Amino acid sequence: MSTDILTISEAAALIKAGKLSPVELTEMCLARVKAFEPELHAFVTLTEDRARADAKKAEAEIKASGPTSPLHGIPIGLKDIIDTKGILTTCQSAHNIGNVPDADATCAVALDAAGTVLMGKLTTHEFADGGPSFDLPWPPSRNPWNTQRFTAGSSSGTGAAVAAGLVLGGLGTDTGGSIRGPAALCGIVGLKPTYGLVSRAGVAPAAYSLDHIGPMAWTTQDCALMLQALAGHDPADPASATRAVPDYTAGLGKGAKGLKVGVLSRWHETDRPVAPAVKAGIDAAISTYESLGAEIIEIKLSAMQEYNAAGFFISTVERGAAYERMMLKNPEKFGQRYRDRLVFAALCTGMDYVQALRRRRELIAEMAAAMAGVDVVLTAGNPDEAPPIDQVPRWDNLDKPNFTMAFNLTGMPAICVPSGFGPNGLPVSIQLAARPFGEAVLLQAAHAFEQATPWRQRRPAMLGLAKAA
Amino acid sequence: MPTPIASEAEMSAFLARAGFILTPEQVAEYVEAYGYIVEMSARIRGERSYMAEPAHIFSFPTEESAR
Repeated sequence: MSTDILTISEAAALIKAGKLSPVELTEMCLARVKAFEPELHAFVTLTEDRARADAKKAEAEIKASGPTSPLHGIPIGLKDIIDTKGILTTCQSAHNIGNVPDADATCAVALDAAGTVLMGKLTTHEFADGGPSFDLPWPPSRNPWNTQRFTAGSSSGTGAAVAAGLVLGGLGTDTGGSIRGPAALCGIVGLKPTYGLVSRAGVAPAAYSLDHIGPMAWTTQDCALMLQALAGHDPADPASATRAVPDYTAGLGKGAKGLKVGVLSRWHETDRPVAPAVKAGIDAAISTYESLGAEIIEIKLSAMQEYNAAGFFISTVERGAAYERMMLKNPEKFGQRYRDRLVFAALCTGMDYVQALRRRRELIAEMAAAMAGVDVVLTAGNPDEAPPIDQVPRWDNLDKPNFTMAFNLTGMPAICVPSGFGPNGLPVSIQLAARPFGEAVLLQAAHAFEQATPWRQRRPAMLGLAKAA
Repeated sequence: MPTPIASEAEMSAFLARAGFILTPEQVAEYVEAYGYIVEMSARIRGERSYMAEPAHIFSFPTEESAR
């Protein structure tokens, strides 16, 4: 088995040059799945036959007329709340044992149309919230950097599978940080696009007005390539945006000269002080951007707790409404942590929900005003390295604010990019955010930081790779 | 941890209204969590004008409204 792990863009270049076949690439990924999946639990369903069939089809198409997109023949995985026609879609819940959708979600259709190879369905927290859980029909995913550590969630399998090279890219969903959290703790790149940019049709809801679907991959460039295939209007999603889709790779390689980078120091210094390694990553990002010719501007926003409180009521009540029927009929089928979240919904009032929506409008206006003078804002992705998987507090969404929910609440795009390693050898991350539909400049800024730092050179030690930063 | 200000009876009333059947022991487990919820409930309330409407009420995208 080869130990080399390619990025999407590297594999695409080799495929285009005829130096790598999708079949060969898929077999390399399947070999890694066989080797590491017993420890990682990144997959709920491995679609081995489908992957081989997709790869052969892609190989024939490419031989006949060349690749139709940079994703042609690339092995990917989908979070298991994304409907896949004829393939088990569990939402990691006993409620969905045996659930086989009769149609693909729009995002699955988009990646299939781009020629990807579907490797399987990836582990999630139950209905995309509340983990890690040890009382579900499937185990939680483990962090490839240390399998005793948490991946974060809820796109936990996607984070683990990409970091370990079991797939080259994958889809996650993000209602309060479920793409960016696993990206931060698993040392990969995760992009939550602007609300409405990627269709939610065919994806199980977590909270309707906060749900986003987005790419997770090893590099910023790979996320841009995936977003290119995913973005666009879909009449099947009532919140789908009607904007033209730009070229998300256009700014890659242009550096950061002339960009204005806002820094939200209050959040990571006062509202939730971060670990020294995370702070060092933020400071390094500021220095890096300055050295690249960007202008650093301190910006002021309300406390992170304000954004989290509004987000809590909206996500909790929308989730409760979506799954009320299941909770009333078969509450015992939920795991403890997801059942907790549904109980919380019963403890919120209608006035809580509407007041949270009113506060949301104020906070959107506040953030829009603060962002008017900058291209991107910089803060932490996660406050520390990954904790032990068996030491995640039961009320972890209540007692401390997270750095990600604010951008779900405001619908603005945000990305987590690795920024180093902590004292336990686990990855840490910065988070960048931009104005609505500002993905192109967001990716440009993230790519500039990524290219100026060495953090993409190191893979998890369990893979036995020689590369080191 | 916030000071628990809610009684279990208050929580039980909410849960009964929702149709969720929990044992007294289970209700007691949520007292700590409910304290956080009450604290956040206070945080989202403040002086607002009548015109401070909920987010997303007829906020059509610019391109759509220009047609």
